[in-house]
Amino acid sequence: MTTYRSRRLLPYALLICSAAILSIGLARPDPIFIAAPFAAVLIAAIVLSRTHPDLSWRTSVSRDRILEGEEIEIVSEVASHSGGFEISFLVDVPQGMELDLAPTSLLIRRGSKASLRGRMTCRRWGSRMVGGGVIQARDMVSAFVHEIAVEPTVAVRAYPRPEQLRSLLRPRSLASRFGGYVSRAAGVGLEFADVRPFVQGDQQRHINCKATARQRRLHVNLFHPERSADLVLVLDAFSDVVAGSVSSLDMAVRAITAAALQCLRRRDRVGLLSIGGTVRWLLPGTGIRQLYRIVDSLMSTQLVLNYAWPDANAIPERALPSGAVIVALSPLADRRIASMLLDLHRRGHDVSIVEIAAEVLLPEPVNEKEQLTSRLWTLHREAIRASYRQMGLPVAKWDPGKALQVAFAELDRFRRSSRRVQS
Amino acid sequence: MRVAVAATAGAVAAAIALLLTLGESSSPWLIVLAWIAAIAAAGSLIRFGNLIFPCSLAALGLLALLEVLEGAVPRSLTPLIGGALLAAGELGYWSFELRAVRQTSMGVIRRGAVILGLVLLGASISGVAVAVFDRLTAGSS
Repeated sequence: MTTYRSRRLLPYALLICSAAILSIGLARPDPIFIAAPFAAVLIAAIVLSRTHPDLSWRTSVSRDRILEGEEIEIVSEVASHSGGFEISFLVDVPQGMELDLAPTSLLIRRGSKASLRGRMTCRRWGSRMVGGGVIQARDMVSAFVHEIAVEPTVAVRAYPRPEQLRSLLRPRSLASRFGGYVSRAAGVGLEFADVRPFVQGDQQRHINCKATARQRRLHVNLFHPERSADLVLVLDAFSDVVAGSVSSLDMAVRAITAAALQCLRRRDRVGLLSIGGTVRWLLPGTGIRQLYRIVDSLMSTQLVLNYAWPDANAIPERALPSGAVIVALSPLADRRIASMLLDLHRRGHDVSIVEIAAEVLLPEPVNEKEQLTSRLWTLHREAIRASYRQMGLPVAKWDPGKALQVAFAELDRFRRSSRRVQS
Repeated sequence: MRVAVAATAGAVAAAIALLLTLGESSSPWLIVLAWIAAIAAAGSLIRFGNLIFPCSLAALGLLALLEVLEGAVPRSLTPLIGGALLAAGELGYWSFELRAVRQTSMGVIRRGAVILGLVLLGASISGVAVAVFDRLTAGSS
C-alpha cells in the first residue's frame, strides 16, 4: 500500500508559515488572522494521519465471453477491517476497451463491504485481462490517500462480431456427405429429380404410383441428393493496413467469422489457413466446436515481421481437401500472399479472393509527390487484379463500411461467367 | 458534479474580490489585481492548472491582507476572508479530485458537510483570535 499526502497540505502549511513570518516582520497579527482557518485542515490531517485502511478485495466481471461492442460490468467488492474511508476504484482500461462508466466512490465503515461497479465496452476482438487498477482509500477530509495496486485477474474473451452475410460461394464440386446443397446428380434425397423404370434393388417406397398405372410398368422416383461442401478460409497475416479504428485484419477476422458461421449453418465443413510469417492451419470440420476453434485461432493471430517467403508446399494436403472452395481475405498489400494464392490456383484449387480495399483505408495524399505515389500504387493494384482475373482467379474488392455480401456476390458472378467461358 | 464544485470555488474566489472592491480601497490597482487573481483561480479550475490555483489564492490572500493593513477592510472581517479563502481552496482541490473519481450524491453531501465544518471551524479559530487580540489591545490602551 502506498500513502500519499493530499496536494493541498503543503500549500496550506506554507501559507500559515508565511503568515507567521509576515506577522512577526510587520509586528501585526492580521496575516495570522487570515491564515488561521487553514490550520483547521492541518489539525485534522495530523489527527487522521495515524489511521490506515485495512482492506481486502475481490474483482469480478459480469461476463467473461462477449462479442465486440458489448458491455461488461466490473465489480470490485471491497471489505474494510478498519475505520471509515471513502473507497474508489480507478480501473485500468486495457487496449481495445473503453470505460463507459467509472466506478462510483463509496464510504465504507469498519467491518462492512462495498461493491464498486463500473462498465466497459469492448471495441476490438481479442483476449484481455481485466479487473486491474488502483483502489484508493481517502480519509474523512481527504488529507491522505492510500493506494493499493490491483493486478488484473479476470480473462475476458471478446469474440469478433460477424459481418452480415446471407450466402456464400456455390462450390464447383460437392463432397459425398449430407449437407445443405442439392446436388444435380440423381440419388437418394428429398428434392424430386426424375422418374425411371424400376430395376432390381430399388426401394418399394420410391415407386411412383401414377407413372406405374399409366405405363403399366413399375416406375420409381429419383431424387437429388443433399450434399455438403468444404470451405477453407485464408487469413492474410502478413500485413495489416490500419486507418484510425479500421484495420484490414479486423475486417478479415470479422468476415471469416461470418463465413464460418454461414458455412456451419449449412452443415458444410470449414477450415482455416492463416498465412503469415508462419503458416497455421485448422483442418476442415463441422459443428459449433469447429466454430469456436476457428474463432479462437483467429483471436490468437498476430502479425510477426519477418522475411520468410513461404510457398504452397508449406501447407499440408489435408488442410486443403480436394474440391474445397478456398476464400482468401487479404488487402493484397504483401507480394508473398499474392504469389501463394496464385500458386494454389495454378495447382488446381478453387481459389477466390476478397480484396480488402487498402487504398480506401490510407490517408488522403497531401502533396504532389504523395498523390503521384498513391496513383501509381492504385494502378499497380489494379494491374494485379486484372492479371488475376485474366488467369481465371476471381477477385472482388470489399470497401470498408460496405456489405461483405456485395463482394461475395461479385465473386459468384465471376465464377459463373468464367465457368461458361471454360465450357 | 466536478464543474459544479469548480464553479462554486470560482464563485467564492470572486466573492473575496468583490469584498475587496466594496471596501474603501486607496488604490484601484489592488482591486484590479484582486479580480485578476480571482479570474486566474477560476480559470485554473477549468484548465486544470494545479500550480496556478494555489498561487492565485495566495495572491488573493495577500491583496486582502494589504487592504486590511491599510485599513480599507476592517480587521473584524479577516475571519470571513480567511474562511472564504479556505472554502475556495477546499472546493478547488475537491474539483481536482473529481477528475478521476465519481462520487455518489451521499458522498457529495458528506464531503460538502466536511468542507463546511472545516470552514466554520477555521473561521471560528480566526474569529476567536481576533476577539482575544482586540480585547487585549483594548485592555492595554
